[in-house]
Amino acid sequence: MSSAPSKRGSGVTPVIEVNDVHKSFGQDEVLKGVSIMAYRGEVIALIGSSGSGKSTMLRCINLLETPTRGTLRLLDQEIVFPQHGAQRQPIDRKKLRRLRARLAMVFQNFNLWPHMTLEANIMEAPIQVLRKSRAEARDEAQAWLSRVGLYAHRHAYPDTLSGGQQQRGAIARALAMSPEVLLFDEPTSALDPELVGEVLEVIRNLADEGRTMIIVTHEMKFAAEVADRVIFLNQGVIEAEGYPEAVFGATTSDRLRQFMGSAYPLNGEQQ
Amino acid sequence: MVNYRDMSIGELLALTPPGWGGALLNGLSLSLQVAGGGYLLGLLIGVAGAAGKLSGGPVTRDLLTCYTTIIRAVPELVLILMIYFGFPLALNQLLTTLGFGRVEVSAFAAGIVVIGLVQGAYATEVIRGAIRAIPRGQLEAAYAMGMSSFLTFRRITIPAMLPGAIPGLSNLWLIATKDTALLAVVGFTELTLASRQAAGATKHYLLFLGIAGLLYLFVSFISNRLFRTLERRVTPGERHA
Ligand SMILES: Nc1ncnc2c1ncn2[C@@H]1O[C@H](COP(=O)(O)OP(=O)(O)O)[C@@H](O)[C@H]1O
Ligand SMILES: [Mg+2]
Repeated sequence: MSSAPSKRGSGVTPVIEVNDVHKSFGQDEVLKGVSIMAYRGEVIALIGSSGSGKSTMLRCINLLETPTRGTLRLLDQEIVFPQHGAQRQPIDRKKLRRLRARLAMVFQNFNLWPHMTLEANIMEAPIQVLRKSRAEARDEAQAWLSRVGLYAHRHAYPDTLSGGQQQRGAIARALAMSPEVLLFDEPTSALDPELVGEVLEVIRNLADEGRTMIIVTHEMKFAAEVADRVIFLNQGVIEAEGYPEAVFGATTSDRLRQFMGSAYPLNGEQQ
Repeated sequence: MVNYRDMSIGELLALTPPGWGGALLNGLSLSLQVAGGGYLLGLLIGVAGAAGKLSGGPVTRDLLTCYTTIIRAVPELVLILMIYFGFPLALNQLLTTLGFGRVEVSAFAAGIVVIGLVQGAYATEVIRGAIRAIPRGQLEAAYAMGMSSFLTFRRITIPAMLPGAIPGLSNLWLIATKDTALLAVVGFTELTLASRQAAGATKHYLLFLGIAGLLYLFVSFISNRLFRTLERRVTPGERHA
């Protein structure tokens, strides 16, 4: 798969390089040789119908799933699958954790920890993983909460907040790790329609800051506006890839046209 | 020989002999200490057992399944007799094998071990259920930020499972307090044996066993209130209610 450098992307070596990655669950091959390059500062939208393997791809990138076969180069660390020998962990656990701390993930269901206040949620990993002092972690948490418009809610528990607020909180939690790459897995799919906008706004601002992001989304209009490159995944293979205008415009892929036309029309009124 | 027949209820319940009040309170205190110690031991076993059942290897899981199955299937009275007499034997066997001297296992310590082992089996299941009810994504969020399994277990899993586990664990505490009564069979003068001795000596059976019952009821009443408060404090939605 050729990856043309795109609008915002820069640098010679990609921050993330996925090379011919396969992933099977039992007999079921969900990813059938996917290759993706993400350059520093680039925003990639990963689209495709439900079950096409988008989440699995994203989860392979931060190793919540272990690829069956293929190569990952994550922030200059190369990992080849399958690992040799009977080793169960693909790489040294410590290295794996250090890697994950630099790749933040935002989930569809927010996954804030219910027993902690919003502020404590955000302070947790910086203190426990990055070994920051409580004072420093708190200052930063408050700064990130202000950034996503939740400073006033810093002492609230997640389940007292709306879905949109929870997701903005989860984004703040991810940002507090100063990650080099942000992975979003359908960040607005679990939200009521009227709450989608506030979350997309936060993500749009991050894109404008030049952060490297891979966003799985069904918000086609948003993808078209924000992404430097769009990748259409279909049944575990990349069916189309390129600038948003190219992918969303008339295309050679019947499947993509079908996907765009039926499931999620590119509709100006939406979101 | 004290003549109990002519004593008033007040005199019978006096804290100092010939009154039996002091002996009853002493029995209650012993019951609560053994129940408390056994309960804490049970919680430790429960947390470790649940972790082992959920993420241990096949051998660990099989061993734990044996443990919880046996403990839950065999009547507690039998277990108490077995562990009470077996545990000191086994411990001394082990110590002798390792070249240490024998130790005297006090009835108190053996009681805690008995209650703890029984409680541990049930606590393992209660805690395992509560952990399984935590949405997987909350743990993945921790892993995705570079937290280790142990750190995640300590900082996320345990506090997040508490609201789900507390009703079951509060139930277990009540069972622990009642199970101490079974230690009467091995001559440990906890509340039940103390009140039986009082009843036997004075022939005021109804009075002393009734008082023991009231004391158990009182413990249960206080415990329920404490657990309800605790549950409110660890359940996110109710914290501010
Ligand atoms: N842990 C798993 N075990 C078994 N099958 C899975 C697992 N995770 C995902 N799958 C399967 O992989 C396919 C792709 O899933 P997913 O990556 O979640 O798709 P998408 O995010 O595009 O909707 C689906 O058929 C799903 O059932
Ligand atoms: Mg998905």
